[in-house]
Amino acid sequence: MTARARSWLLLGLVVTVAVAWVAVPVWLLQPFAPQTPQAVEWSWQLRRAAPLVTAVVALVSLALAALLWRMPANAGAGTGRAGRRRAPPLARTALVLLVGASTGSAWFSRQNHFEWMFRPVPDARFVAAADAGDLPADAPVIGVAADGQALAFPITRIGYHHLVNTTLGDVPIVATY
Amino acid sequence: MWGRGIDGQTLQFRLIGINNQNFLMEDLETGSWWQQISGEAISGPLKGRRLTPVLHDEVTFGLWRGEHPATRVLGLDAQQSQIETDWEVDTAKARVVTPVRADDPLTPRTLVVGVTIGGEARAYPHDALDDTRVILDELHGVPLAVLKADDGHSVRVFARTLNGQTVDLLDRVGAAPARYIDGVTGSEFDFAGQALTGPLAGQRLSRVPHVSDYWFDWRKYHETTSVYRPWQPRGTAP
Repeated sequence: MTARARSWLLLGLVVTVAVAWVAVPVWLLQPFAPQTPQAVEWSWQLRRAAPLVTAVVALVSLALAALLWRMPANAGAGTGRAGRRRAPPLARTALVLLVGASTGSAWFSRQNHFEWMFRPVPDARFVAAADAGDLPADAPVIGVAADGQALAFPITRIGYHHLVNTTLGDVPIVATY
Repeated sequence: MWGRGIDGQTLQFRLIGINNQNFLMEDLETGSWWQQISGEAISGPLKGRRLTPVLHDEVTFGLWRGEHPATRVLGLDAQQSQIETDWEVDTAKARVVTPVRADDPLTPRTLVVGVTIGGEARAYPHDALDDTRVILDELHGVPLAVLKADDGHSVRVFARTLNGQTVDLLDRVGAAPARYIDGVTGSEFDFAGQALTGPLAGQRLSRVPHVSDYWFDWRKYHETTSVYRPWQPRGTAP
């Protein structure tokens, strides 16, 4: 096997690993599929290591692609245009796609795709009951009260975010729905 | 609803995934994954740890505001993100991914009031409160009352013992706000468990935490749960 073929093989392999590394947890934690405890554990392990693994793969794939970019298809065979020192267009397209996949994986590993759909509430804001707008009396709320303080989380408002980090008095709580 | 303190550290949570249609949250401090319904860490450095439950209510806004006039209410965020009120109706139709057992006493999406005392779990189907505002029961030796408010939605569970005596609550039919009468002393209670009149006036029943959940989810986390049945099963007589 030539050095060129080995480089292509290695590039394909590491990019496949990076894509699988970020895709497998997405696949395991699909909303409308059952999960096993092992699937949750594997997802956690993969996601935990994903930022590092995909960053390394992105760097390795960039280096390999740079190498292959400058490598003519038939080095030394003399069949191409004289003096051409670049890979042919098809190979260059493949290199761009592979580098795109590896840098894309590195980017995705730093994303929380569940928060794309259900955006978080970084600073939960509370208003007086009189200022609760058009919240009807029969609207279901999650209520919590302690030490003379009371908070209400209308289901229509917390249901979208699913969770709100806040404090009740000086007790830190997370309201979930 | 959970306390965010653990080992003197305050955790900050975010949504991270889903596990059999119950969401997972991640704490930013350790990266552990927590199950929303059980408050248990199931992956990561804090695996096996549990958050402290916070006693809370799922009631109507009108009832909550009446009991807590100074309550503050979660405002809409900048994106005005909210779900439609009929979202629950659509959710109730969504497919359930955990296996349905042939001998299941309830359909997967039946809403239940789930109570656990001393490791013993029981599910009270919401529709068992369709014809009455009071269910009297006993779980793990503790006499319980499951009360529904006059809004037809809000539910609370109380331990119905005062001064060593069991209180047998009856619904004062049609009362609004709801009132419950102790058949023994004639004392009248409100939905907060407070005795307003009669010999027990001024005393208060203790709340028992419960969760409102779908049957399939409740059963998944409470394998040995029983189901409250106000009626005798049909066709089982010899």
